Amino acid sequence: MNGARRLRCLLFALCLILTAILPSVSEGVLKRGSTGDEVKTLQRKLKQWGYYTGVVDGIFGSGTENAVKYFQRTNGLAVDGIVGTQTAKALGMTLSSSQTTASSNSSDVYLLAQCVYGEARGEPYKGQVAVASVVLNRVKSSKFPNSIAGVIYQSGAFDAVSDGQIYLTPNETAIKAAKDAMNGWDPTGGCIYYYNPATATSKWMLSRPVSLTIGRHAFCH
Amino acid sequence: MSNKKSLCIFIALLLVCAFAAALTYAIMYSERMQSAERRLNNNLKSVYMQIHNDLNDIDTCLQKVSVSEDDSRKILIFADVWRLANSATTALSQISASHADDYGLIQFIVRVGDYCHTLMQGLLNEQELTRDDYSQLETLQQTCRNLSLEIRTNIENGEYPQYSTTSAFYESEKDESDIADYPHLIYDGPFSESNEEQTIYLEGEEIDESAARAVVAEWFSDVEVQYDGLCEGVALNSHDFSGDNLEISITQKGGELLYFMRQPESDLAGRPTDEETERLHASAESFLRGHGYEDMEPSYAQYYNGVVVINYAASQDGVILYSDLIKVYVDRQSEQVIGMDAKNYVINHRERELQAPDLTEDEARAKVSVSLKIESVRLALIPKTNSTEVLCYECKGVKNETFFIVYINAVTGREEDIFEVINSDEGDLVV
Repeated sequence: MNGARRLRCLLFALCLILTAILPSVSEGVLKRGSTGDEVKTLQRKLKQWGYYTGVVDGIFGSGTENAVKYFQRTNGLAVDGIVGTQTAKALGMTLSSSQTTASSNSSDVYLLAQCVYGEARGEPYKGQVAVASVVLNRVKSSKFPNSIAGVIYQSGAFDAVSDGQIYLTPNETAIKAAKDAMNGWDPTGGCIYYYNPATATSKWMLSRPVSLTIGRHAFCH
Repeated sequence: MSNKKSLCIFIALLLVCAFAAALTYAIMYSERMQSAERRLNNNLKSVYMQIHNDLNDIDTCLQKVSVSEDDSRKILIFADVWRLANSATTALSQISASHADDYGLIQFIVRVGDYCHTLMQGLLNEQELTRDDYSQLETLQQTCRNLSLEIRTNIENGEYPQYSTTSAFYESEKDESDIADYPHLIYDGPFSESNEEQTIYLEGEEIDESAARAVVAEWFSDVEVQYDGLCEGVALNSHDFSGDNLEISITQKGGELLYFMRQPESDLAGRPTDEETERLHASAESFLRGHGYEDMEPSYAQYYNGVVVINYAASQDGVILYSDLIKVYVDRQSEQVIGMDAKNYVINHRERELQAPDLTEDEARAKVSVSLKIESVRLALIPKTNSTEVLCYECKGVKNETFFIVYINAVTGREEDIFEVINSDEGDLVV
């Protein structure tokens, strides 16, 4: 018990450090030295349109910088080699850390994506959509609050909210999973709970009828 | 020698300073923690008292209803109960200490609100309260009074829900047997027991894995898939398969395709040009026809992350059936269909017994607000709750460059619903 608590504290501290560091890494712009999925997307787009000839490796190096400058010059943007809001818009990209563009139709989608990312990043895509579906099925159920924010922030409902991982910046995959779920795709067949069978201890939870298991999560109702 | 001694003194001094600094920090930190804890607990107390007040007010409202003889007064009181119930459930969701603790209570209060809202709508449609309604309302009033008294006793004894930094807030858990029994309510509203369960119109024999595999082969002749097991859903069961960038689900009953999904090649976003829209629709429609879905009509579409999702609703004798929906996912890059979600169609599709409308189209037009410039009118069957549908005239119109859809009941002539259409980069949204 004590060990578990210490572990939790440690994880929490780690999270705090991560959340403190992350925003400073990606301030909603991509520039030389940036890495990750968004850089890959950027490179793919530049390559598709013939601005970039290098490899799509997710590392923003001099080659990518030159391609961005080329793109900016051709499209009448300020030529600085940095992908900010304007350049991203011209590229048809949404930079995840600039919330205003990421949540283009509503803040609900972004919050749902944050929950998906905090709870299920690293899970198969279907598993990520499934987590979003559970949130949406709860909104529809009379047993839970009737808004996405109400369900997600319900105390004790999601570990990612308790330990603060929900404040990590969601990636494109989590955002798409949230949108697919909002559009109605529900791989769980109407589930309102899920748990990790390897770590769950709640007798009550384990007694619920399981619909299916995806990745590390068992989904039940 | 003295050099070494002064070094020792220096190190000792340094250590003392470091210790003093650490101590000061620890004291400050603990004070901040305590203050944060106090603030949180004050917040929880006020929320708890809010719940008490709301339940108390609901109790009073329901008592007034029992002696009121005026329908418009009752409507006002029911509206009040609905508002109070919403306020109480919002507050409750902030304090529930674990998953199991307050499910029964939240559900009970949601249904009290929903029930009163349904009665209110009934009164507005000139349906009187029945004797059963009055006796149900009396039971509810009694339960609300007991709950409110229980919370008041807790408050008086200082038994508030507490937050503590030394124990995890969400550790306490009750067994399901601890959940109190709340009175059952019989009524016809969106959250009522009878309507939370969906009626399934899908027919057919139950099929096993190999038969489901054959259905998959009919849809995708050239892909290898693995069996992921039976998904035992709330409404229906399905055999799940997956392959390289492919997820497929086939219903156990009837062996219908529930959904299939692939990931798009690009992440193009934003509205397409008119020509592209046309090509995307053509691709989706030839796909639907090719798989035997006849008489499907497109309604709205959404564009995001490399796909367009087009909603198709079935139609029968020119009446559009909004419950029988298929969502078709088309890749923006390849313009190929990469996904389909037929859940609503599979659950709801059947031959409807459509009654002839009592209202003519012109009569329906006359019911729509004069401020709305009507652009088109057609008949539509719209879902009212999980188990009921209403035949309406769907009137699309525009006011000050904002688009609206107004649904006029084709039998009673009442306005059933109004939607505002919001044009966004991602497509048309209705609210």
